This record gives sequence, C-alpha cells and structure tokens, in this order.
Amino acid sequence: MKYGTKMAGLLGGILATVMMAQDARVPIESKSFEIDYGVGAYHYMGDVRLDVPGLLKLSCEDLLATQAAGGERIDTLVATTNVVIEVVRPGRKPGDAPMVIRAFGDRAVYTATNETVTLTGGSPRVEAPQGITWGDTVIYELGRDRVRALGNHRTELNPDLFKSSGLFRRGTNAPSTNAVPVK
Amino acid sequence: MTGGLIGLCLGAVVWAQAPGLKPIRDWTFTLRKPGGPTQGTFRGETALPVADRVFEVQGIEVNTFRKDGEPDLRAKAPECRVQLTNDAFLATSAGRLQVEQVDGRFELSGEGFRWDHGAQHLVISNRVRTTVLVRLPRPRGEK
Repeated sequence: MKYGTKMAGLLGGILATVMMAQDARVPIESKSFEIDYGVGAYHYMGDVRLDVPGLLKLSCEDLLATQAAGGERIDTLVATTNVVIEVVRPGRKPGDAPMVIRAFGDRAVYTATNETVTLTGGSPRVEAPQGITWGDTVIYELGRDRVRALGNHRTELNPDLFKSSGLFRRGTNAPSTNAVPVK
Repeated sequence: MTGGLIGLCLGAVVWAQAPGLKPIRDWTFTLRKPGGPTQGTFRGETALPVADRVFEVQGIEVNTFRKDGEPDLRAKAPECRVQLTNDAFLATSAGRLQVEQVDGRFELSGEGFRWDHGAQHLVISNRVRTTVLVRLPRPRGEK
C-alpha cells in the first residue's frame, strides 16, 4: 500500500515550502476514509481536519489525494466544501513574528509539481497581513509565497503597510483647510 | 497485486474444520501467490467458521508485505468477519481497526470497516484518524 510514504512525500513538500521545519506528525481526522490502493486514490470524507500546530491547518468536508496515472507519488490534493487553509510562515526578517495566511474557497486544489493552491467557488480569497485578495480564481503559490487572482480581481491592502512609507503624507496643491502642516 | 490465483496457505487445523464447529484457537493463514512472496499473514485468537471459507475472528492481526518481501502494514481489530476468496480476502466489521505502517510513517484508526483486498479497496466508516510522519530536510547549518 505504501500509503504513509506517499502521503508523507506530498505533505512534506507542502510543509517544506511553508517553513523549514523538522520532522512533523501530521494528524488528519475525518468521519470516514476510503483507500483505493489499486489506482492510488485516498479519500477523506466528512468534517476533515488536518492540523500541524504552528505550521499548517486545513478544514473541509471532503479531501481527495491522488497520484498521477502510473506514478508512485501522490501529487494532487483536492479539498472541497467550506475549505479553510491556514499557513504559518516565518517573518520576513529574523526576529519578526510569524505571519498567518488564510485561504478560503469552496474548492482548493494543491498540485505538488508547481506547489500551488488554486481556490475557486465560495468567494475565494487569501488573507495575509498585507491585505486580502479576491478573484473568481485565486492562486496561492506556496513555493514563491505569491498570490494571483484571475477574474473579478480585488485587493484590499492593509493601511499599516503605508505607515512609514510617506506615500500618503505628501503635500498637495489643494488649499489647506487646517493649520496642521504636512511634514 | 491483482491477477492470478493466490494460494491461501491455511493452518492445517483450520483447513480441517467444517463450518458450524467450535471456535478455533490460534487461527492463522498465509496469503501468497503460487511461487511468489508472502503477501500477508493472518492470526486470530479465535475463529468461528460460519460458512464455507467464512470466519468470525476475534483478536485478529494482519501483517502485509511488499513485493520485495519487506514488511509493510500491521493491522489489528478486536473482531471481524473474514471471507476467503480464490484470489484474496474480504474483511468486514462494525468494530475498530488500527493500521500502522511498520516503519512508523503512517497510522490509521477508525470504527467500522470493509477491506476488500482483491479489489484493493479499504473503507473505514466512522471516527477516522490518520497520522502521517513527515520527515523534512534539516535547516541549513544544522546536522
């Protein structure tokens, strides 16, 4: 069956892109579970929860792990219905607090070959400390820590990003309406 | 794993029993293709024959092996019904099943299962918990 080895390979790929952590025990709970080890399909059904404390959380109603035809590795995870993924990434600079990134959708497809999560349905979005990105399809590139949106794209940036930039504190030609000078 | 007849090498005591007799203690059989490596071994504390090639087994432990002969999975269940077929087995139970990969990389438990080895299909119906041990690369500089 070698299920554990295959699943460990896939989850290891995800965790390695999230954080250079060490060995991790990854519990996955669900109401029921089905393995078709002839074709390499592993199906968690009902209230599925995956939790690696401090690194990765996933909840959904249905999770299907499959391997490519003729392949030996599980290379695709498909989560459906009320999908919530929470990824903890290290801060940008040493000493920075870890960043929590949350992804939402009705369907999330993780593909190991390009290390991306593609979110669709149910107002798909990715929430990060920098802001929130919506789209008909939202693609979260785990390996590059980058988010793209396709169709009806909208992004709300966190105003805190501009606290020290001075971008919105420039003087203008508009007549001053109060006595507070802009420095 | 599929195709071809699989020899069911049952313990002599088991093979001699007819359905409907008393429970058999220390019930065992081995699953292997003719001339091939052992695919699995089965051991039960007791087994009650309930029909032709069908047993109600208490305290069953199943060990499976890879094609290269190395141990793969170990499964335990307090009770289950085992139906031996020409090429495999079908095990069913409303009770608990625990499965672990012998190298410790995978554990699975749940309640209520149907394991059709011929169809390469395992379903666990309730309260499933799996644990996968993921080994990741060490951070740079760490040995």
